[in-house]
Amino acid sequence: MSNTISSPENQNESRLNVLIIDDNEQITKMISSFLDMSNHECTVVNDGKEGVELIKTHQFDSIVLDLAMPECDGYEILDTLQNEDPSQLSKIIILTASNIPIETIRKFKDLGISSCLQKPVDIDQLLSKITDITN
Amino acid sequence: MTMEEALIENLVLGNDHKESMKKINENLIQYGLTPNQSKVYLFLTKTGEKTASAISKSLNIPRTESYHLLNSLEQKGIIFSIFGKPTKFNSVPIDDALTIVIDNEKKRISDLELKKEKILTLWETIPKHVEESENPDGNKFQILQGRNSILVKIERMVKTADKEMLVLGSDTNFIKFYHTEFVNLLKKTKAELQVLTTFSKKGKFALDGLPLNNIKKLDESNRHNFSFIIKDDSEVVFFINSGSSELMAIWTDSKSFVSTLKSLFKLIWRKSAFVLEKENKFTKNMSEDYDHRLREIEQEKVILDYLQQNLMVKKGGKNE
Repeated sequence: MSNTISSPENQNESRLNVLIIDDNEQITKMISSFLDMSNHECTVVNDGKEGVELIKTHQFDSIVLDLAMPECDGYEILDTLQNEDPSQLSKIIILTASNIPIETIRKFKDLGISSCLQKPVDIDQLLSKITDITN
Repeated sequence: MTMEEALIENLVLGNDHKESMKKINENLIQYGLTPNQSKVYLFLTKTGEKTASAISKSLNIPRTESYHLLNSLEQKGIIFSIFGKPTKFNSVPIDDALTIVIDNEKKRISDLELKKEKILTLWETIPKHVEESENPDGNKFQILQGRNSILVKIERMVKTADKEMLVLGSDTNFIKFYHTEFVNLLKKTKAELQVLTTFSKKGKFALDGLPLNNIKKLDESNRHNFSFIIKDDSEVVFFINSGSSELMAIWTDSKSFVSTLKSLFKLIWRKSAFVLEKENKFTKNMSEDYDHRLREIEQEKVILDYLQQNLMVKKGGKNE
């Protein structure tokens, strides 16, 4: 994806390094395109295990995480981070199509997770959540 | 001690394998052998055929006792005698011996079950002299010692529960019931089951098989060091941390005790969240799956619209 297309309103913002973990390839491709347009760097994985490995080995400013994924899902990733590197939890934005009970949302908040958004989410809202983390 | 005896003792108690032998010895005792029976059996298994006298000397057991021991082991079917003068003894291989001992125990239990019916039938024929208690639901307490007696009590509670079974405790407590019928018993209940537990990564396997819809997670503030199981409004088994390795619990039908613990349980239950919702996804109905997919599609559409719009703007900008 080309980095030459960029939305004017974001050109002055600092370039963020964002990781997207979602098994829906369409969504990851599109979010990646939109982040490219917003002049941010984006890494995409469609598999939870790969996502955990990347978080362990790379530094990201923000992590957009889906919950329902086959094999290693978002909850397992959160479990792993809680046990091994809790500081990463504050970088996480949960983006899920699942219905999340209020108790779970509270639990996410207690864990220090930045945001929990239910799909479909407005793109500007997602971008603002991503940039909010670094601010 | 002669050189030969010392060698034999070393072979049996084996300095190199002393710990393993000790553990095997302890386990054989759990299989119903007395410490000396176990000692004799292991001695024969390690050293091969021996006379009663040699066994007695090597193991430092009085001769008369060694005859009793050999006799009882022979009756159990795990050693045998070899005709000759003097008579020698040898053992059945350990795997066969364990099978024999287990079969004997099974037979004994089934005999006891048969006898139970006979005793009850006889009991019915005896006139009663004791008056029925005026308060059958009175404050009865019973100390349960050991895993089996606790399990037997829980089984009775589960079978007679018609309203609810409430279980509270850290999963480390429930690990002690792993490899028992504990989870199966709870699964069998016709009453509503509610389980409050720590559900830790290391310990949640102890509750494998219980429906996750019935389990809520005890949070840090409620991880007190106690566990209990309540049946309806009538009975409770309260586990005691005695410090010993043996499990202990108190069973009671005390109304005040039951209602206090039940209030505590309900209070924590209300404040707690169900364990990992992700595992409930398999039980979600079709409509929820459909909603999930629909939201994914809507999300794709939102992003696509956004991208198209921005590309159009860009293209438009370029053209201008």
